[in-house]
Amino acid sequence: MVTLVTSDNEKFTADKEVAERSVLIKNMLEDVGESDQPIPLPNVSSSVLKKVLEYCEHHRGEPLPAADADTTQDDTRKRTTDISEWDQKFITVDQEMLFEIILAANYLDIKSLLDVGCKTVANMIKGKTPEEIRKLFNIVNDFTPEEEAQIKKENEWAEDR
Amino acid sequence: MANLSDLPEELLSQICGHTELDSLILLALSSKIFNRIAGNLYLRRAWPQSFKSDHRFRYHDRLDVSDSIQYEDKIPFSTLSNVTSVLGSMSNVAHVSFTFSESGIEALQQMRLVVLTLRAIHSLFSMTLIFPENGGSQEEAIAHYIPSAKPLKIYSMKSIALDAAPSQLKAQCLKSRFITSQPRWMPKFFNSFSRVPSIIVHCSKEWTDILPQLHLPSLRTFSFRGSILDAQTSNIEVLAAFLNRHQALVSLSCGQQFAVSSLSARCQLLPSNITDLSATVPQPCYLLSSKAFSPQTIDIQFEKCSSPLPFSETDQLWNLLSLISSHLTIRKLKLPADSPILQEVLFSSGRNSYRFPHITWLEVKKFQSLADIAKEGFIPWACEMFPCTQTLHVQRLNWDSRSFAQSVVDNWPSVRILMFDYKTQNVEAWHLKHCLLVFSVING
Repeated sequence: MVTLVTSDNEKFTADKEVAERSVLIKNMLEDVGESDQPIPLPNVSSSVLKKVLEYCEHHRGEPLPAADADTTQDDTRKRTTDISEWDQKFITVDQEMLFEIILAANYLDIKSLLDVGCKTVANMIKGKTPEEIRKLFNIVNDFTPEEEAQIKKENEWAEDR
Repeated sequence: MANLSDLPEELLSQICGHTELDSLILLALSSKIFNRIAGNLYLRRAWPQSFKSDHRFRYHDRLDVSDSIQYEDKIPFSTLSNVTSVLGSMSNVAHVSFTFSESGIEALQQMRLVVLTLRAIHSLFSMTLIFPENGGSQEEAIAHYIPSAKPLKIYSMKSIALDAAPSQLKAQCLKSRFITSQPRWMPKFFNSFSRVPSIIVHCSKEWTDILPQLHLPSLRTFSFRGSILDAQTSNIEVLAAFLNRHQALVSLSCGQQFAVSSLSARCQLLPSNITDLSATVPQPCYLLSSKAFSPQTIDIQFEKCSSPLPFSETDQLWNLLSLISSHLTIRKLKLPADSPILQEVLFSSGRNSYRFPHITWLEVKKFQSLADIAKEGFIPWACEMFPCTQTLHVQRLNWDSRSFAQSVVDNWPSVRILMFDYKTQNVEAWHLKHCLLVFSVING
């Protein structure tokens, strides 16, 4: 068993196999060797770690992505927004939790969870106008009037068609 | 509270990586950071040929817009607005080319996009407008939209008409029947670009037909390019009148369009600022007959399709040499070695009474066209004819460059700079005596 300590000082215990779905934790365990020392996770809160461990528990035993798998955007990579039914249900959370999970997945280096989070956001963007996207994610329109005019004119043309 | 905008750019990029193409461009319009991240990815995904590593064009300065499916690297009009919506995507564009549709309705929309695109480019070096041979309603489009583009800084404009399919562009774009079919707006169109300093057009009678209607006060360079396909030349008086209306011109390339006939009136030019002239033999003969015309550079073009001349070609060339020898403002002379007449005249014995001590820069084009005996005799001959030449530029030497350089050093003491195309080897060995050798690689 592995003990994990969250940013709000809550301790979680998890099977090593489950915890090691995080590449970060796996590397840390390898570094410290056989030890009962708890692993501090200062960037992850207890509520988020609970969700993360739930995800890792469900996907226990599944093959991990290759270490050299591309984690950045890649034009040639197959893009898909398909998410399995369980993952969809799992990730149906409020926006704050969604982004916290994405941040935690990135910090803990759990690629499959990061993909689920990013795909979920991509699905939320799908089919929305720029204004709807701003409203949904509370994005501030920071274009200058000149930039806005350039973009707006082009849109007017597109709407003409 | 975590917000989408609070995520690090690395994660925003990953989200964009999972976002569909159509949604990416809409996301790009939501804020500056997404304009950069999503817009960048949109461009690279939509046009991998044109956008490689960043949001700017891979080929740095060229934007080709065409709906032709034959060219994958061209941006179609239908998505051009998406490209310009990504701020900065046009920041390095210096040359634009638009190929219009044959459909008048489509061309109207395309012309509107042209204007909108041009507004996204602050400083454009050249613009090429390619019209279909049988286009219909572009007149309306031009009249309606082009005035909106007037404040643009455009340094050069090329206008050509497609004769048929784009695959035949190189061979047949030189005809300009489209111009004839649209006689009203074409002059208006060009005149609307009152600040354009450079225009390049292809040789055709249609162009010279609208020449009297053009008035471009900022024009500094005017070039006719290409050969005449329809063998319809125009009287050079049309050009002379054009020059008199365009006193700001400093560079003129006449192409093969303008012929001098026995009926041509004596050239009466107003004082001209033209310093660079590129022309076939009869044209400078005509222009230099005016005392107001005093160029510094003459680039003699070899006329492949000779037009009827009032005198023999040989006499024309002798006449030109006579005029050049008496025009002391001329400093730079470019001679086409591939002209048989020029070879015959220049190397003929007995009549070489002309000397050109005022020529300080001599360029010999296509040197390899000279016969071997002429190549061997070139330096002694040139040294006598051009005794004060300081720069000798030889294009396509196709000769042992080392021995050529040695011969120049030995026989032509005035030459200080020697330029060869394609020759870069043995640089150290060529630094001989007082001769400073400069090697240039042009069109290599």
